[in-house]
Amino acid sequence: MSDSDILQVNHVTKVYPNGIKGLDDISFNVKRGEFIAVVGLSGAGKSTLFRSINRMQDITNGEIFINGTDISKLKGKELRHFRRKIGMIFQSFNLVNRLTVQKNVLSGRVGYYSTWKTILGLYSKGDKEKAVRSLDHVNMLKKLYDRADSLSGGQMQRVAIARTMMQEPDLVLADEPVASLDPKTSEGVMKDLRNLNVKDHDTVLVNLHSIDLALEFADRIIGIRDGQLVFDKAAAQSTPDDLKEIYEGGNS
Amino acid sequence: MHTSEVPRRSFVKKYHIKGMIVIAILIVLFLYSLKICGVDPSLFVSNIAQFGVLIGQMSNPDWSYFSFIWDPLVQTVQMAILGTTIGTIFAIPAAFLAARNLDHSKVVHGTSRFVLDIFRTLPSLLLAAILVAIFGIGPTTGTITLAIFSFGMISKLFYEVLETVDMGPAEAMKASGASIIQIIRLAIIPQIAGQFCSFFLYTLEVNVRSSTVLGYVGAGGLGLYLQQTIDEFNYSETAVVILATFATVLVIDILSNYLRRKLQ
Ligand SMILES: Nc1ncnc2c1ncn2[C@@H]1O[C@H](COP(=O)(O)OP(=O)(O)OP(=O)(O)O)[C@@H](O)[C@H]1O
Ligand SMILES: [Mg+2]
Repeated sequence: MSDSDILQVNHVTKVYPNGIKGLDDISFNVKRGEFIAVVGLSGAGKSTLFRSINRMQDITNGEIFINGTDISKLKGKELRHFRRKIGMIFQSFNLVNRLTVQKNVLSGRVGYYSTWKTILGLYSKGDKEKAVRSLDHVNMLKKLYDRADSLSGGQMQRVAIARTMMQEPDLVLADEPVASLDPKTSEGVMKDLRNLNVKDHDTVLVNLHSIDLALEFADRIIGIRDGQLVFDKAAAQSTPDDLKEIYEGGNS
Repeated sequence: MHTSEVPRRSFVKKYHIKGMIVIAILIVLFLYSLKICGVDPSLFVSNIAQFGVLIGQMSNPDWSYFSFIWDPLVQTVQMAILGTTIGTIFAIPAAFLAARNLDHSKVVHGTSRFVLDIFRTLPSLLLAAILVAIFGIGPTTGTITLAIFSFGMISKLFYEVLETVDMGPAEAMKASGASIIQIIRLAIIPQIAGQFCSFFLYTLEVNVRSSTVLGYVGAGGLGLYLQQTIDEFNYSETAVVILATFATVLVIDILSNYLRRKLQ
C-alpha cells in the first residue's frame, strides 16, 4: 500500500447472520483526496460496504486499513476516536427534528467532548463559531436557529453536511445522499459534497443511483454487483454505456 | 368501455355479523354474571330513596370542618408528588432496559418487561394494605404505595414512547464517534422529553385522585377523614371532604392539562 492511500479494502467478505452475502471478496484502494462514486443495483452491497468501512458493522473475512490502521482491531474508545475522522451522510438525513439547526450541527462535534460536558449541553465558543462557518459553507446560516423539522429535504441534507464538517473528517461516506431529492436540489447537495472534497481536501465516497451525477461529479467510479467489484475506472474514461452495464450485466 | 368492478363484501362483512355476535355474547355474559354474583338490580331502584336522604344531608356542608382537613389535604398532594417523582426516577432506567429498539439483547428487555408486568398487576389499594402491614399507618406508606404504582405505570408509558423514537439520529451520532450516553443525551432525549413530562403529569393526576382513597386502609392523607365522617354518620362533614377532594383533583387536572398542552 502506498502512503497516499487513505483506504485499503482487501478481500473483504461480509456474510449476514441470515446467510446473505453482502460483500463477496471485494478489494480496492482509495487515494487521499479522491472523489469516488459507488454505483450498483439495489441490494448490490453498497451500504454494506460503507457500514463496514466505518465499523458500524463487522466484516466476516478480509481486512480494511484506514491511514494504515487495521480497523478490525479497534475497540471502545479507540473505535470511537477512529469514527470521529469518518463522516457519514445518510439518505434520510438523520437530524434530530425537534432541535435547532445549530444544535444539530454542533452534535457532529460530540465525539471530541467528554460525557459530562455533553450531558450539560456545553459546547465551546470555538465550536459554536465553527458551526457558523460550516453552515455558511453550505449556505444555510440563515436557518441557524430554526427547528430542523421546518426545513425542506435539500436543506436538511445541507445541515447534515455541515454537521459532518464539524468532525473535520479525513474520509466522508455518503450513502445515497440525494436519493430522496429532486434533480435540481440534488445538484446543489452534490456541489456541497464536492466542496468538502475540493476545499477541505476530504476524501469522499458517495453512493449514487444516478449515472449522470456520477459522471458529472466523481473522479472515479466503482461498480458493485452482488457484493463484487465489477467496475473501477476514472470517470473521464467511463461512458454512460459502461455504467448501464454495471446495472444490467449479469442479467443478460 | 370497460369499467372496473367495485369489490363486493361478503354477507358476513356487510351486516357486521361478527360484531353482532360479540355484542350478543357480551349481553348474555353480563346478565349471567349478575345472576351468579347475586346482584339484584331491583335493590338499586328500591333504595334510591335512601340516596335522596344522603344527598339531603350532604347538601348542607359543615364548612367549619374545612380547617381540620386542610393539613391532610396538603399531605395528600405531597404524597402524590413525592410518590410520582420517586416512581419516575426508577422507571426511567427500567424503561430503557425494556425498550425493544435499543441496542441490547432480547433477554434484557424480555426479563425487564416481565418484571414490570408483575408490578402493574398489583392494584394500588391492595398494595397499600400490604404496605401498611409492613411500614405501619401513615403517609410514608402512602408515598411508597404511590411510588410503586407510578413505577409500574410510567415505565410502561415510557418504554412505549422509547419504541417510537427515530433511531436515525442515534445512528448518525454513533457513526461520528459518540458514546452510548452521548447518543442518549443528544439523539434520544430531545425526541422523548416532551412526552415523558406529559406522562409524568398524567400519572401525577391519577395519583392525586387515588391518594385520596389510600387513607381508607391507613396509608395517610385525606381518605382517613372520609372514612371517619362516614362511620360517624356526619354526612355534612363528609360533604366537605368530598368537595375538597373534588376541588383539588380539578385544580391538579387543569394545571397538568395546561402544562401538557404547553409541551406539545
Ligand atoms: N442487517 C442485514 N441483515 C441481513 N441482510 C442484510 C442486512 N443488511 C443488508 N442485507 C442484505 O445484504 C445485501 C446488500 O444490502 P445493501 O443494503 O448493502 O445493498 P445496497 O447496495 O445498499 O442497496 P440499496 O441501493 O437498496 O440501498 C442485500 O441482499 C440485503 O438484503
Ligand atoms: Mg443502501
